[in-house]
Order: sequence, then C-alpha cells, then structure tokens
Amino acid sequence: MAESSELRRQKVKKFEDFVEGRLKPDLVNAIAQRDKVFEQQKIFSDLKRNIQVLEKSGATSLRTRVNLGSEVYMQADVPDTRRVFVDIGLGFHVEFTWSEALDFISVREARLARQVEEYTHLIANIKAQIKLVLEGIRELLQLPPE
Amino acid sequence: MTGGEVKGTVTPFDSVYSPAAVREAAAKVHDSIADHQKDLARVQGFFSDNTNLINLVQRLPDELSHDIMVPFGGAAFFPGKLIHTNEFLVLLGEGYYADRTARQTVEILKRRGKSLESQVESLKAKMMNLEAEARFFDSTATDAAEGLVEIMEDYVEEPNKCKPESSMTPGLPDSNVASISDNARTSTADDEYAQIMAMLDEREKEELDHENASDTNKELGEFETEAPAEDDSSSDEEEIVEAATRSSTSPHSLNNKGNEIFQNSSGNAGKQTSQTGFSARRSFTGSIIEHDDANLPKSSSNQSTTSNPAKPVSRFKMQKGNR
Repeated sequence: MAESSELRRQKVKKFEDFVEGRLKPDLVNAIAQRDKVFEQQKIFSDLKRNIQVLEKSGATSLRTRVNLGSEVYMQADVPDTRRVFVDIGLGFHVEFTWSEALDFISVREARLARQVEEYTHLIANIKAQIKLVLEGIRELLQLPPE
Repeated sequence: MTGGEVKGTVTPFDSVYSPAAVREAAAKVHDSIADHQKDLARVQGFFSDNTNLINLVQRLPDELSHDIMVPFGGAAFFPGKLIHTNEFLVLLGEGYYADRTARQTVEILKRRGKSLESQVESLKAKMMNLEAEARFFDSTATDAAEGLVEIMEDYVEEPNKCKPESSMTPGLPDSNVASISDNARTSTADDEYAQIMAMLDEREKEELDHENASDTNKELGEFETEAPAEDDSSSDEEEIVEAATRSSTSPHSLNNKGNEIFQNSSGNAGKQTSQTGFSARRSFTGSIIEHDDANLPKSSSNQSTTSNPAKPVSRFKMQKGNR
C-alpha cells in the first residue's frame, strides 16, 4: 500500500513538473507570438485608415511632427503625399500610390489573419494537453482513497 | 591567555547556517544581482541614447531644412523635409510639452543625463553590496559543509590595550582549539599575517566604531539565540556581511571565520580594543581580520547604502515607456 502510494505520488509529481516546465511555457510563448501578430494587424489597419482619410480629404501635402528620439519632436513637411513607401517585409519598402497601397494592405491583412488562425489552433492544442495531464493527475489522486 | 572566567558557547556552523539554506540564499542573491545587471544595462542604454540625441539636436539647426523620410504609422514612410529646424517640442512628463530652441533643448537633455548618471551610480553601489553578500554566502556554505564550529565568549572590557606585536603569538591557536584542531597548523603563518592585520585594524577601528556601537547588542542577541539561518532578516544579513567582508578571501578562512564571528559577537563596541587588544586573556581577538580593506568601508556603509532608493526615475521612465 505505502509503496504504491509513494509511486503514485512520484508519478503525480512528474506530471505536474511536466505541465509546469514544458506545457505552460509553451503556452506563454504561443500567446506572445500571437500578440505580436495582433500588433502587426493593428499597425496595418491604422495605416489603411489613414490612407483612406488622406484620399478622402484629397490633401497633397502634410505637416507633421517627427519624433527625433526620447520624445523630442520637430516639425516636418511632406510636399507630396501621393507616393507612400510601405514596408513589405524583409527590410524592403516599396513606393505605392494610394490605391496600390490599399490593395497591398488588404493582401497583407489576409495573411496576418491566417497567421492568427494558426496560432490560435496551436494555443488551443496546448491548452488541451494541459487539461489532459491535469485530468490524469486527478485520476491518480482519486484512486488512493478507494 | 584564555582567561579563567571565560564562558561561552560552541555551536557548529551547520546548526546556525544550514548549508542548504545558505546555498538557497546564495542563489537568490545571484538572481537579484542578475536583475540589477539588467537594470543597469537598460539605464546605460538610456544614457547613450540621450547623448546621441544631444549631438543630433546640436547639429540640426545648421541647415534650414533637412530631407528625410517621414514615418507614417509603423510601416510606411513619406519623403519629406524637416523644417523650422530650431524649434523642438520636448516632453517634460505627465503630458506636458514645451517648445524650445536647440540650445535650450540641449540643456534639458543634459540635465536628464545627469539624473541618469546618478541612477547608474546607485545601481552599481547596490550591485557591489549584493556581490559581497554573495561571496559571503558562498564561503559560508563551504565552511558549514566542512564542519566549522563557532565559538563565542563573553567580552570583558580591557582597561589597557596591548599592541599586537607583543601579545598576539600566544593567543593564536588556543581559543579555537575546539573549533578545528587542524587549524593550529596555520599559527606561524598567522603571526606575520596578524602583525600586518593589526596595523590595518587601526584604520578599521575608526570606520567601524560608530557602526559597531549600535550593532553590538543586536549581534549578541542574534548570535546567541542561534536563530536558524533565516537569511531573510535584514539585520542578520548586515552582520553576516560585516563578518563576511572581514574574512572572505583569506586563505585561512576556516580559522578566520570562527575568529571573526567570535570577534563580532563578543562585542564590536569592544572592537575598539579587541582589534588591537591582544591582551593575554583574550584568546584570539582581531588578529586575523579581513585584509581586503577595500571591502570594509562598504561593510560599514552597507547598512546605509542598502536603504538608498533609486533617484527620480518614474517620470523619465514613463517617457521612455511612451516610445
């Protein structure tokens, strides 16, 4: 009796360690990655909105404040806003007109949404595994009293 | 030498500082050292950013306008120009901005740099203290594992101090016989060592006097009630550090540890006499003291610096966070 309960206790501990040591960090990582993709999504949707506003107002020049670092700003003037340089990834920026930029942004958004899907699946997977292991532990713990 | 009326206690190190707990404490201290290291790196990063910005702000007014790529959101740029190159909008914190010229902006940034520097200094001081603690814990762990024993005798005030050269030799091996008999081997080497130590003791005395006077009673109480090694209690740590810094790097560490704890416990107020007082009755007081006197000022200032908070941080931090 005592030995088997000791063995059981060891198994329970092993399972718990596995959950804490592998599964939970994995979960945290996956959530962090997904958040990053969310941020990208937000950036691009903001960009799209701004370009649409520009298009609607038909403004060709722009006056903004540029952050030089440490929140020190300086005025900047953009004489011609019809050409935008958009970051397409891998360190490249491509010169677009407004409509081209909007097309690109929608393509990009579709891709980001797919990535979010993937990460969501992964997260659900890991959560299921955690649940499984916890159930196993619970089963092990419920047997001894009987 | 070992006077007739000495009474004291002998406690093995393991009971006071259990090796496992000491190792845990050492690990904790190492962790906090790592954390402080990260903070230090971060603040130094801020500082170098600040310097770069100062240079930039100084160069900008040289031209009427500069051609730049103006960012638009996080992922797009417009080609454009920087205009009004002598006007800067500076965030002062809490949502307040100020329009300043280049020269005024540089002054603001220089003041920021100074406050950052003071942060760096305080962080460095904290780290040094932590490192001393870590060293002590490490050495204590090894000592405890080796079965070092701590001997405490009540201190009786001596009316006259004897100079070390004359009376130190007889005192050396006797008192700690109980602790580790093998350490008697170090007595001859200790003699010369002790002589040098005695001279340093004079210096220490001044630094430690006022500290020890207040600490004496505390230490007596702490050690003799042999609280188990709860390294969380800060006063414990302070004393331990004091003891540690006096003995950490000595090769005669085993012998020393017993001596110094003894020394500490039996009245550091009496340290004034104990360090130089090699009276015949005191078995072995103060002869082997930490020769790394660079540590001493720290040990005495340990109690004060540990209470030094970091300087004005929040506002500037928030600024950085806004980026």
